[in-house]
Amino acid sequence: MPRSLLTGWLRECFISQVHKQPCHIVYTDYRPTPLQHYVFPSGGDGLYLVVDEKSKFREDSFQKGLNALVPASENDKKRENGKWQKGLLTGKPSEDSDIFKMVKMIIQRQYDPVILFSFSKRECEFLAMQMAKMDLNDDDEKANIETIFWSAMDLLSDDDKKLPQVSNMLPLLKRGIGVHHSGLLPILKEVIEILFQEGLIKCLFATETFSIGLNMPAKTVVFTNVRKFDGDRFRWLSSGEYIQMSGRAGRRGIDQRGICILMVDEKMEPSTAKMILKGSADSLNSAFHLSYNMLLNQIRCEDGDPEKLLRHSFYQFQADRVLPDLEKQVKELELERNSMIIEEEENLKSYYDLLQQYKNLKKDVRDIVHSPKYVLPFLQPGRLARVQYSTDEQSTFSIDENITWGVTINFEKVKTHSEDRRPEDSDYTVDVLTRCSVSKDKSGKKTMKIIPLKDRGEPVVISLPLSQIDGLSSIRMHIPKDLLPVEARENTLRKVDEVISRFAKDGIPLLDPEEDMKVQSSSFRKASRRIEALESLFEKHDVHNSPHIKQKLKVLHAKQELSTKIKAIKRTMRSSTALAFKDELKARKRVLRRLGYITSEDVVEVKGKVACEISSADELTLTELMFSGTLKDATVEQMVALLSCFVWQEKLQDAPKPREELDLLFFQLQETARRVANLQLDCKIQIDVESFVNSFRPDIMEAVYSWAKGSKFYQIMEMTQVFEGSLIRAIRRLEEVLQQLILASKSIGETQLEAKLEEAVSKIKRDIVFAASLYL
Amino acid sequence: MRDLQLSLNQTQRVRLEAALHELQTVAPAAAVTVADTIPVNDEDNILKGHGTSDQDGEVVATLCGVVERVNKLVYVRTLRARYKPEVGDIIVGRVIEIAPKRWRLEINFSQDAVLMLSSMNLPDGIQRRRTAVDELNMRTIFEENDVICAEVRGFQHDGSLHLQARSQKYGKLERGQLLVVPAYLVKRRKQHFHHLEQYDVDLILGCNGFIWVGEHVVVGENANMMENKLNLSAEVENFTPLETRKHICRLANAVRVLSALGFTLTVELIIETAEASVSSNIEINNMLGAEFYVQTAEREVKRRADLLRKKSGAR
Repeated sequence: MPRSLLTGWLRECFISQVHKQPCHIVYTDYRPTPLQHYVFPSGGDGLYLVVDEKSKFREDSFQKGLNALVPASENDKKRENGKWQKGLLTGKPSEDSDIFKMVKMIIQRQYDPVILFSFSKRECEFLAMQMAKMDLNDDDEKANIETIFWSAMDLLSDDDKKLPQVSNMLPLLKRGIGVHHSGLLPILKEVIEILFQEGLIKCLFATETFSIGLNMPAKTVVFTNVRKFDGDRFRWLSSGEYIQMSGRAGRRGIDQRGICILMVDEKMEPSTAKMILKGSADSLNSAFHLSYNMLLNQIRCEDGDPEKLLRHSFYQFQADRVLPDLEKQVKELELERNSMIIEEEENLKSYYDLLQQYKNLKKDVRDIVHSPKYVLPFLQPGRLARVQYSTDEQSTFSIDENITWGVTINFEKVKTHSEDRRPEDSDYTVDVLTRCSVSKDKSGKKTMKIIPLKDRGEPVVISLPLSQIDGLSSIRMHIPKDLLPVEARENTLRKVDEVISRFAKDGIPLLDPEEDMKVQSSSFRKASRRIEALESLFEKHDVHNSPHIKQKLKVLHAKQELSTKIKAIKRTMRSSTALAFKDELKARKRVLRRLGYITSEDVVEVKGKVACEISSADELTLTELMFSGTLKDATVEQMVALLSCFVWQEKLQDAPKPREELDLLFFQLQETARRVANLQLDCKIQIDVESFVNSFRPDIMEAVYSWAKGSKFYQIMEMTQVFEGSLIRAIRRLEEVLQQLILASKSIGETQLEAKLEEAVSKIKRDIVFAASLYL
Repeated sequence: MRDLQLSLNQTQRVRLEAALHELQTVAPAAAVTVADTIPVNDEDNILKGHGTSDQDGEVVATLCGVVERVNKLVYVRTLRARYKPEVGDIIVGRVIEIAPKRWRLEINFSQDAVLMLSSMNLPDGIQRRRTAVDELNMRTIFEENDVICAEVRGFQHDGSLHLQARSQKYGKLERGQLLVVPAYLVKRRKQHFHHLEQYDVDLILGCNGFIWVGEHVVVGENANMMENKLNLSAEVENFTPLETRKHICRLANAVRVLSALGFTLTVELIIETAEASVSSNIEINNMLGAEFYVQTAEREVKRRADLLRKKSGAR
């Protein structure tokens, strides 16, 4: 099923179920403009077609491409030629860089417009700067770009027009080269989008956010890297990501086909490339999660029922959708189980149960008799020992077991647990001479397997745990001093054979647990009596002498296993039917009660009303901070700087340390956050306290403080390393938080704090940070 | 408690005064009146909430009530406040005007509330856009003087109060009594809709002090009722069994007695009072007589004493 059809169909089911009305979707299940996928090896000078318009993977072409890879040492040498500087400062690019050759070839072949995807903002700018000597526009286009650019920039003040991002971008744009990432000034980003849509930008360096939402198709898409860092690790692109970004290629109605180029700088397995290029889209899984704000707003409406909302979520829908498949499995297994017809099944089952009991009792007795306390004195060299061996059959269905005989050589205490011994095993091992088959695996390690004495094999001294000794004979025999020669071992086993033959009539005499070994255990006596009773029951049982009993028991065993499997699936169905997030819902309500946001009767209190208003920041921590009076004492600028910790998400390595007064406020914030996190931990919420506390970062406190004090934007950019667009986005979100806090202050009647917050809004809402969007 | 307009004889007056005096001995702590200073022990960072003001560095009360504290927030919770709407409040209101695309409702607030045509469930229950025909048919849904229950949605930017009635449990209230009591007698609870099965009566305790006692309406049968409405004659349509009507009157009188005495209205107390009148063989009209008032006051004294004893025992 095509992925778009699957996704739409899934949503249709969800909407139909929740709204109880039919829902129809309109879809296309083919791509109007076919794609061709190429590989460009690093250091090379050509393209290699690896997937054609008919979606066929061409492995030979792929291998040729990889073989064209220049050795790594030369590659490193080329990289040194590139020069990177912050922003778009003019540097000295190298005409020999891969990206330059790539774009040049694309333009020559008229594959433009082209989007080149990178996976970091700085790499975007770095690659664009290598285009300094390339000019893709004619004079008319240059004039158009200049007109559009300055029309947009007129919204800015004169100071803001002098920002490096603004002044350095125009020369690049006039040559038809653009950059697009979230670190750009919003107005600059919008201008570039408009220019690209108008076809005035031929070559755009973008991050992957450009592949989502925006209607910005190009003829060609280039992946400058095959790997990306996703916050956890460095990894290959996923097929879903590749599909999303390559979807930009091929303009409907304009291009005959779209072109995707993958720039490769290291060896890839063909299967890896196939997985990326021809894999399927990522599953559309629900990312629903409970938040305290949502929970509180549900609770304060009488009609609002958090459980009801959870039941109607897409997440629950996806969990429920698994049920029919599980039910089908159960039905199939039950059908298979019922089709197994066994004669005299009831009798057979009782015999089977007796057999299980018998084996368990036998094992109990053996464990008692063979505990080191009783058995060690009788492990003399030369004593005949009966040992168990395993066969290919998983289990037997008879009171007879797989046993053979060997000669005890020695025993020793196990000092440490080796890998092939389980902790439950005895602390002693016994060296036994018996017949084994010896095989060697690939690494040359020997594997020895015990086999019957008369089978073909080698005489080997093997170490066995006590639990594998089935019985000890009262017979001891003389063994040679030296068992290293194979002949000596073979002779000894031949003697064992003679002894077995001599006692063939009555069986080899065993040590009596009570008389010889002095076992005094009452549980031993009890178990022994039960074993005797069971043995007599076996003789009298109806099916004991019936034909094919082993075969029937095997079938019964398989039937029992099917029943076990059915039970497991039914348990899965039950847990799936249970409300998802139910435990989390209970835990979060507990947190809210402990903090005083709701009463035990689930009525929203004063604190809860404040938290209801906050959705742009962590509502619990911010409410606790507010009620602790921290915001009251701080000045307007200090308060704004402190609140910036709630909205800044990126990681900055060399952020300036906040001044002392701000550092003090930040410490209070961290203490409040730690208290909130510890309380959630107490209430069974899964939370990492340290990472929660560290998620409030002081990186832009100084910048926001200065902005609230009235500094110019370019002055702030001189004191901090953040991208202009990131800072603007943070300040805008900060204004949202302030607006929500104003509503919260109003709800508790704190007019002084409300006035202070209003003043804060007026201080930060100015100039370039809140310039109007070009799309309005 | 206001002055009761009752003809009390000497014995009844003495009993009533004794009961009320008993109730007043359990006075709330830290009560303040206007201009009282609220002691905050010279703490820093005090947040001054509703009913407080800053006067020369001291926190002064601007309302009469009880001082409450939440962390650093200090505010005065009034004992007899006027109704102040909050998001999620269940209210009962009366339609006073039909304006373009909206109804205006009287809800015992300083301004009228607005119920938008787009904020309520259409009678046919289908979720769809409202059309011009729907606007023309607004009077067939609610007309002037209809009693409606709804939920407070919030204040809009222009300061108007907006309601919503998006569930089938909201809407027009018929065949019952609307009672008006002071809003502070109705405490915010998790539940404000009550179906009293033993009486076949719906009781709605509006947060604004409007209380509805009416015949039970089965939610979910509205669609069928629309069809049946056309077939029923006018007489059959308005029929309510006598027994149900008696229950409605008895419960309504219980509310009247409790509110006149100034007692907080909870569904448990209302039912208890109604049952007391039955067990005392008091006629429905006599529930408003002097003797039942005194009995109710005495029963409340006993109830609170029992409650206090339980708390002491638990402690």
